[in-house]
Order: sequence, then structure tokens, then C-alpha cells
Amino acid sequence: MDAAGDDAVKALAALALATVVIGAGAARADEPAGACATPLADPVTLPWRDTGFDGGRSACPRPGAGVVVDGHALIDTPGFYGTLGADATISLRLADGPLEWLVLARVPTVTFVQNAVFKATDVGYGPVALGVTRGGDRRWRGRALRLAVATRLDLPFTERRLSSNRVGGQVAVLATWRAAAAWQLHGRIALLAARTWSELGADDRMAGALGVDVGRRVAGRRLVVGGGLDAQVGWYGLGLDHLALRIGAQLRVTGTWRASLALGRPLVGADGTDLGFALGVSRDLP
Amino acid sequence: MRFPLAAIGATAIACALTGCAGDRNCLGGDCEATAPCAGLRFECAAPRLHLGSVATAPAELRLDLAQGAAGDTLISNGVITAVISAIDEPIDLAPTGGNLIDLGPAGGIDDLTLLYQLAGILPDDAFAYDRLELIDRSPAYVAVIARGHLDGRPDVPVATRYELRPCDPGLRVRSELANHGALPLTFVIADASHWGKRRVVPFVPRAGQGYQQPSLDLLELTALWSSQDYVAGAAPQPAAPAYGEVACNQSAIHGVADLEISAIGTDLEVVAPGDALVLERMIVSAGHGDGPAPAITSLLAARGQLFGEATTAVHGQVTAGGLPFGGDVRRASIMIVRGADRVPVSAVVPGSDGRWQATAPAGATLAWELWSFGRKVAEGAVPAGSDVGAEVAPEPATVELAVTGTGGGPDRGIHALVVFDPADAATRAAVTGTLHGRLDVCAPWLGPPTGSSPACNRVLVTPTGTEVEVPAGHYWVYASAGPEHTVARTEVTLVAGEVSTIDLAVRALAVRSPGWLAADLHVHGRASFDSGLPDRDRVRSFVAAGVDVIAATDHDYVTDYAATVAALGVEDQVMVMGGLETTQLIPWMEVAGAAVPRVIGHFNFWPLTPVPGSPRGGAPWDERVEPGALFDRLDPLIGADGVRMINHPWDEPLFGRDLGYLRSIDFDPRLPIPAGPAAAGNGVLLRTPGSGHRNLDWDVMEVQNGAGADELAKTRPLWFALISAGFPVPGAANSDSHGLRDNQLGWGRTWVQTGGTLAQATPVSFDRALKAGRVVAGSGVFVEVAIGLPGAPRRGLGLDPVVPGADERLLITVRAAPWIPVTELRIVTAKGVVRTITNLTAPTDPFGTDGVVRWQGAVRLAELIGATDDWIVVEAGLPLPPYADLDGDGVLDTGDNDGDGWVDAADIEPGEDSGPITTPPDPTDPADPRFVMTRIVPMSWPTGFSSPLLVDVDGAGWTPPGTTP
Repeated sequence: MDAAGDDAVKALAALALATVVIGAGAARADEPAGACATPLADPVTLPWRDTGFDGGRSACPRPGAGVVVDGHALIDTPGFYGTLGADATISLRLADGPLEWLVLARVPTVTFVQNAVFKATDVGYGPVALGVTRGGDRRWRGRALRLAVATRLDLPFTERRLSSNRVGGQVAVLATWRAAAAWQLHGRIALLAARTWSELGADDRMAGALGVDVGRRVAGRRLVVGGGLDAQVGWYGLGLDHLALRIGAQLRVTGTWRASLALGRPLVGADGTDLGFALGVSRDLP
Repeated sequence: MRFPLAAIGATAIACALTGCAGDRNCLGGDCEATAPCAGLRFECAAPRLHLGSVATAPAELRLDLAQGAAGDTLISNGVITAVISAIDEPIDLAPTGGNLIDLGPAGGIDDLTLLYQLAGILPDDAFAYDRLELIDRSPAYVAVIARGHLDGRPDVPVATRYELRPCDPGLRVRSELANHGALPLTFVIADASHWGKRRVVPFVPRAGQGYQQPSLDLLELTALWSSQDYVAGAAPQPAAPAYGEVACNQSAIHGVADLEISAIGTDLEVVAPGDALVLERMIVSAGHGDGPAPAITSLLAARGQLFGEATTAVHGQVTAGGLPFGGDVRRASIMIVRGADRVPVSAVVPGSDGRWQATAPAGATLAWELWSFGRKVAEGAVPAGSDVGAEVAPEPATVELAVTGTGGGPDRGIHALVVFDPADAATRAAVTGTLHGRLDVCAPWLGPPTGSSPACNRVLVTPTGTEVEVPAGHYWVYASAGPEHTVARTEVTLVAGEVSTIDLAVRALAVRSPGWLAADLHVHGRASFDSGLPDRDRVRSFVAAGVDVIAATDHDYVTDYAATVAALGVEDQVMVMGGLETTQLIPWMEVAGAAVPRVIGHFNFWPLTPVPGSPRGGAPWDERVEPGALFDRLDPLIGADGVRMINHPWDEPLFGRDLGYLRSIDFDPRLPIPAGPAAAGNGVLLRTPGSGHRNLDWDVMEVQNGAGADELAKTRPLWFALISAGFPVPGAANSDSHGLRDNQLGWGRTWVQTGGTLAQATPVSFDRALKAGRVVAGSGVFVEVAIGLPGAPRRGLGLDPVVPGADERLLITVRAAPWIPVTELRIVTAKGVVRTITNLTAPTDPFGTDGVVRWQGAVRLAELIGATDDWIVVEAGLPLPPYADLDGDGVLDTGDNDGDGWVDAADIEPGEDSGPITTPPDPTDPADPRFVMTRIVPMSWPTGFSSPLLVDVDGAGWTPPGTTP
């Protein structure tokens, strides 16, 4: 294993350890405070990596169950290359005192790739991911602020035609700030790491990510529109992976049900994705 | 609420820390632990293994007709022999060495051009090896391991292990690929074999296939990528080995099989970052002219061990006229089909005793088909016990052929071409055949059209006579010794089982003037990847066509036929110059506006001397360079008098590879050549990509390729445009013949005025005269041109500008054999066709000797040339067929394909924006002027043209007249 591989292994180990520590360290309960008072507290989220483990979130707990369909497209005409991908993610977020636990699974994942005249579609499922978030309320500049640490670990439960396995994870520091009555700001600093391995060896990757989002409540308390920027470095080696723009909206449909829509694309960087989208439906849980 | 995160996290940590990945693989470094096809075991009486260089290999293990160079690696177990190219020696489509370039039964024949690995069809996706490791673990195994990465994707490492164990009927091969890139990719691991259309015929056990695979359409590869139990193939030639491939780590083998190129391996897979792909297979070779059956027997034996499939051995004996009948695919070929949908599962050529045996999968009903002389003549069910018994084929007639040459000396037997043509519809219907539906349709089908004589309906006859078997029927039999002889014809009725003697006499005609030599400067033989014609027949075809000088121009391989010429004792009849046709196969050249990269097309170079033991016979690597750099590379080899020729400048690409340079750069003959080089457009011609030569620094342009009208019609505007732009070169006509049935050798031909006889000629004297422009060319029509006053000394052809004297004339003589129709003479200048003459002599008897001179006369230069410098080319033949430029690129591209008398959109092939452009079909009416000519040379059109005369009107030096839009 080379030096980069060692680094990735260490990062994954640290990530797993952080997950365990956070999960084991439940302390006093923090009541949701003003920063998360709005029932539509999530930023626009749009994962760029294939397994979606790099997706962002707010610092606010939001127990619920949902289904998100997301997809991405990359058309590289001069390179005779294109890929389209889509998958459905079923997730469950549960509050447990100061913690919020996450479990999700992707079923199914569909990837179409065209390399010149060779076209193939791969249908599979996985991964299964676990995560935990712990946060606390603060005030900043006289307004409510919530800070949280979140981890997510993708477990190697992936089934595709080819027999490779993946494990990946994210540890992130999150902030959600109530900038004004109808405005929220979200920030995220994250470390991503992943290892894929097959009978022929392993492939290790790491990245650092920074995200900023703004959301504005409109139409009373039923709709939030927002947008954000993601910057990520390191996934493709030295250099900028992407500076990506995301826009979206979340709508409280009725009662505890809500829907979300997000669109985005990298503006600069090595990531050539032309368009990503996510369409979700979820139900809040107590 | 607590989740068992601690346990899961610990699992992840352990997995990450231990690597999770298996490392028993070649990419991981432990290639010795990965024995390909480990489930296979073969036994034999005398186990043996050898690994070493080709140069040091025992003679009994080497392969005949192989291309392995001294430094390549030969491995053999005494059953099969394989040669893997040295790492720094790319060949053909492969960007590096480390590929299988020879394979065959030990001590037998090699029929493999190349078998290399690829992951996709783009050049970036070819396996490019950079390390070769030799492992000798005798007596257990020997292996060669090649490692590298995809040619354009350094983050996709690859490795291939070739392994041979004692007694194995084939090579065990394991290839690995891992995607360490950032994006998911659709990949395969496939063995691509470049068969080249005219050698190995693939055999695929699928319903409706066998020898007949779907046409290879690169844009439809995904749909064509099929699955089958095995793939096999063999050249339909005596002594040819069979090949086959079966997968070991997957139950089916996938891919496409085509006469041009096959790619066999894994299914199409989405290979995401971190994914890996592995293919293990056995590649077998067996047999000696028996068809694909010997290889299929080995493949089924392997599948039996791997997957438990049962087989059955079917056998029988073919007879004709009560006697055993076999030994040649012409006489008999058995196809075994399986099940209700009659899936072809094997094909075998019976031995000379008529006996045959083939292995087939068990478990379903089997049936047999007997094919003889290209036709299915009997069929039946395979009975229980698998003994088919006796299959009876119709008995053919036997014909003893002899052709004598008369005139200019005593009558004597000569090398000649004899053509059989059905004389009535009943015979045509009864004798039209194919190779099990594959290759050209012929009537009669005397043998595979791609191979040795007899091929299709034609036979090479030696001076001592030749015996040939022909299906019974009523025929016209023609004998030809080329366009400078009469054609002899006789009508015969051949009776089954009877022997007929046919003696034909041809007479030499004074078609060319004394001091001229006839040449074919573009000729292929078996050293080319796309020719299956043995050297012996190739050289006999030189002489039979009446050609004096040959440039041997095999694709990417230097040959000169010296040994064969000497063996046949024809040194006094033909001078063969060693040469080469550079044939770029790896697309690389970016052209503005083009969606895909291109190659520069084909160029001929001669004279070259073959270098035995060197890769490509001493030819340099010619990929990924512009013509100027290629010229730089070849110049030291061909010498100062050597010739560089641009071939078929506007030919359509073949399987995505450009054949003609001017087409590949989108040259526009309506536009001028700019003053200086440019990155795009016509200015590309002036670029100097290497150390000295410009891209247009060829010495000769092949204005006519083959005997048809379409090639000339497409190319002459390009030639004229370059002459007008100040870049005049002689125009040549060549056959580009690859066999006996495709382009006919010596049609077209290039006559060069050396001033002497063949005995007096040398390559230097010939090449100097050629480069000087003392050249006329065409398809059967000789056009002699000079300038002078009637009765006064003349100045003949040449590229030195001529200053016309007062009242000087253009003196023209047109000659052709009486069986070649010539009705039109055209005088062309920079302004276009300035004079058309149609009062040519028409011979009354196409089989006679009278009427060779079709027109002789003079035209005042003042009537042709204006006040400024110009050039003159004289053409003769039949009027060119109606063609038009429907895609607006300045070059004719479409013919009157629907025969309505107009060339318009209705003539365009569906889905295209222009074309096709072809020579009009061969006439079926014996009264048609082209009838006799097209019996000898199918799809021919009589043409002749001179090289340009450059007219310097004022004597102040020749000023190019400039391009005429």
C-alpha cells in the first residue's frame, strides 16, 4: 500500500472511531432552540460522489423518514463519454437525546455509462450507511446558532455485477444560523474518505469539503427556497475537485409531510458532472 | 437507543487496516499465484515446454509464415507454439509489444496477424504494456507476463499473463484491469484479432451464424456484442490451422466476430472507480487445413472440464463417383448443426480419404450438411451413435488447362489466368456458390475467392498446364495474359466424372511503345494482414498479368518475393522491388471539425530490402506521425532514388481508419494551397512535421486504384488541383490487388518509359524515369503523348516544362487490345476538358489482333493552351460514368445507383449524405462493349491517362496556373 493509501486508511479509521465516540458519548439533552425553530431547516443537499456519502445537511436535528431520488449526468462529447446515474435512498433519522441517528440504504442504484460506442447499464443496491450527529445551541451576533458534529459511515454492503466493495465516510462540523426571521445560513466543513477494493487491489480517496448555504422562508412557513456553494479538494488528487452551485426548494406539503427538490452543477474543477438533481419526500417523526 | 456502532466501526477499521483486497493477482504483484484456467488438465505422451527468443527456438517448434522477430519471445509445449512481441515492438493495431503475434500448431503454419487486448474501441482503451516478465517453471509451466496500463488512461493499470502447460492445446491467458480513475467507465477485456477480411474466417455457434456473422458496424457494437459458448475460425486454405477461444472464469464468451476484426472477451461492464475486471480464457490452435473443427474439439474439451458439458464425436466419409472425396474445402466441407434452430456448432473439411470427424455439444439433435464447390449438396440427421456413414457429393468434371503465348517468338506455354463463366442460366444457377454463405458469391465456385488458385471462378495456369476440378455444366472459358495480349475464349460442356482438355492461345499485342515497361506499384501478398494469397500464386499472378515491374507493398511489412521469384524461375519476366505500404491503424490526428481522430491513410515506399529477423521485416513503426515525418523516417531506407507514393487519396475509411490522406485532412480541391503551412485546411499539406519533408512531398500520386472508373473519377480532380497549384507529380494506376478475385493484378497498371527492355532495367533506372514523369497509366488503355511537329523530333512526357514552338502540336497515340472498348479521348488542362475526340477506331473482333491503335493524331497546342502557362493531361477510354458531388466537398461521391439516368438524392444510400460511388455493374449482355473485359476483370472500366505535360508558354519558367474553383 502506498502513502496515499495509508493516509486514507488512517482517515477511515479515525472516522469510524469518531462515529463510535460520538455515539457512545451521549450526555445531556439539548432542546431544539431558535436556530432550528423553523420546521424546514435543511439546506439544499446534493451528493456528488457515486454512493452519496458526501451529501451535506444542516446542524439541526430532524427526525423523520424519507425517500430521495437523486441523479446525475455527465456528457463529455469530445471524449465520447457520458454517464447517467440515478438511485433511491431510503433514510431514517431518529432523535436520541442529544444525538440524532441516521440509517439509510440505497435501493436501487442505476448507472448508465457510454464509453465511445460501448454502452452498459449497471443496476445494484447499496450501500447501507449509518450516521450520528450531536449538536448544541449557541448564539452569534445576537441570533440563534446551532453547531453540530456529524459522521456518516457507508458500510460495504454493495451489490453490483462486479464484485468490488466500498466503504466510505464523512465527518463534518455543521453550523446553522438564524440570520433573520425568514433567513437561515448553513455552513459545513467536512472530511471525506473512501476505499474501494476488489480482487485486484484497493483504491483510496480523500477530500476536504466546504459548503455554505442560504435558505429563505417564503409563502408563510410552508416553503423554503435556497441555494449554496460547495467547494471540494483532494478527491482527484491535488487541486480543486469542484466549486458547485446548488439551488432548491423544500415544501411542507401537509402536516408532517414535506417534499424537496434540488438541482446543481459544478462550476469549475475536475468534476465534469453537468447536472445533478434530487427529489425527495419525507415525513417528520416525533 | 443504541446501534451497534462500535462493532461496525471495528469491522470497518479492521477491513481498512488489513487491506480488504485480495492480492493474488498480477496487478497486485503476485502473478505467479494466478494460474489461468486452473480447472483445466490435459495429458499427453511426451510433455515438453520451451521458453526463449524466436532466434534460439528449436526449428521443430517454430511456425512457418510467422512474423515473430528474433527478439520476440516464443513459448511452446510441442503441441502449440505462440510468439509474444517484444515490449518495444508494436505491431498493427497494438500500441506496444507484449501481444500475441504468432500462434499455431508447433511446427505448423501461423495464420494470426495479431491478437491484442483492449478495453474499448478508442485508442486510449488499448492495453499498452511497458514491462514483460518471462517465467520458466518447467516442467510445470512457462509464462510471459505483460504489465502496463490502458494507452490513454494511466490510472487504469492492466496486466496479462500468457501461460502454457505441458500438453495444453492452447494458451492460458489471464488479463486484469482495474479502474483507479475518477469516473465509471464501460469496459470490456477482449482479445482483438485483426483478420483483415481475406484470411481467417470466424465461426460463431449461434443460430443463423456459423460462418456468417452480422456486419461489423462500429456504431452498433453494443447491440452486436453477443454471447456464445466459444468462438473459432480458420482460413479456408490447405494446411491452414484453426483457432478458437473459450472463457474459463465465465460461462460464455462475449464479443463480435467479423472477417475484418474480431473482439472476444467479457461482456460490457460498468467499471466504477475501484472496480476490477478479469478475463481468463484458453486460446487454442489445431489442425492442418481441416476447417475450424480441430479447434472446436479442444474448446469443447475445455468446456467439458470447466462446466461439465458433454460432447459427442460425429464422423463420416464423403464420396463422389464412388471414390473418397475430400482433402480440400473446395471439394467437401461438412457443417454440423444442432437443435431445431439449426445452430452451427462445427465445420470440418474431410481428409483426402473423405473421412471426417467433428465434436459437437451433446444433448440435442444434430444434423449435418455437405457442401461441395460452394453449394449445399446433401444433408441429413446425425443418427444415434454419431456415425453419419457415407455422404455422396456430385462428381465434378476434370479440366486439363493449357495456355500458349504466340507472337514475338515460338509458341510456348505461359503463365496465364483462365476464367470460367457459365454459358447459360441453368449452369449459372447450378454452380453459383459461396463458402457456407460467406465471402464473395462466385459462379462457378472453384475455391475460396480469398485464397490460392483456383479462387472463385479463376485459375492460374502454369506453362506446363494445370488441372482443375469444375462442377459439370456449360461454360465459356477465357484465357488472359493481361491487357497487352489478346483474350482467348472457348465454349465447353463439362460432364461429371469426365476429363476435358482445353488449350487456349493468346497473342502479344503492341499496346505499349518500345522502351516502356509495365508496372504494378501497389501489390499485396500474404505478408499483408489482409491477404491470404500464398507467395507462389502471387508471383505467378505477376507473370500471368504481363507486368514487368512490381513494387511489393505489403501493409507495414517489407517483402520482395525474391525466394519465390527464384523458385519459379521467372527472374527474366518480372523485376520485383521490395517495398512497403505504410498503414496507420491507430487514430490520432485531430482534424478541425471532425468528431473523431483520424489517421493519415496509406503511402507506398520502395525500394526496400527485407531484414529477416526484424520486426515488420524491417519496416519502421509508422503510427501517429504526419506524412512529412513518415517521409523523413523512410528516406534513409529507400535512398535518393526511392519513391514515395500517396495511395488512393480519397478512399473511404475502413472500419474507422482513413485510407486516403487528402480525404483525411478534408482537402478541398476548389481552394488554393496557401502560401505557407497551416494547422487546418489545404495548408496542412505544407506543414513540415518532422525534420525536413512537407506533408505533400510525395513523388507519385496513385490516381487510379484498381480497374474501375470510380477511383479515377474521385482522384483526378485532386491530382489536377495540385498540379494547378504548382505541385505536379506523375499519376500512377495500380491494382492494389490482395488476391486473385479482388482487384486483378496489373489492372490498373503504370507504364514507365525507361528507354530500354526489362533486362536492361534496374530499380534505379525505373524509379528515376517514374519520378521524372515519363509515365502513362490506366486500366488497359495506353495513351502516348508528345509535343512536336509532325515528322520532326518530339519531346515526350516528363515533368520538365516544355516551351512550345510555333505551330507545335500535341501528338497523341491511343492503343488498347481489341477486347477493351475505347470510344473517347479527352484533353484536359487547368481550364478543364478542352477537347473531346470521339472518332476512335472500334475493332470488329474483340478476340482478334486488329485495331490496337484506336486513335493517332495531332492537335495544335495553340488550340489548347492560352497565353499563360498551363498543363496538359490526355485521357482515353469509355466516357466516365455519371457521377456527382452531392455532399458539396468538391469531390465526386455518388453514382447513378438507381439507374434512372440522373445522379440525385434518390441515389444516396439511406442514412448517408452522399454515395456510394461505384463502377457500373458488369454487363450481362454479350453484345455490351464491356462484356469480355469484365469477364476477365470484374467491375472494370477502360481508362488511360498520361502524366502531365507542363507548358511554359513564354519560356520564362513554368508558372502554375492556379486552382480553378
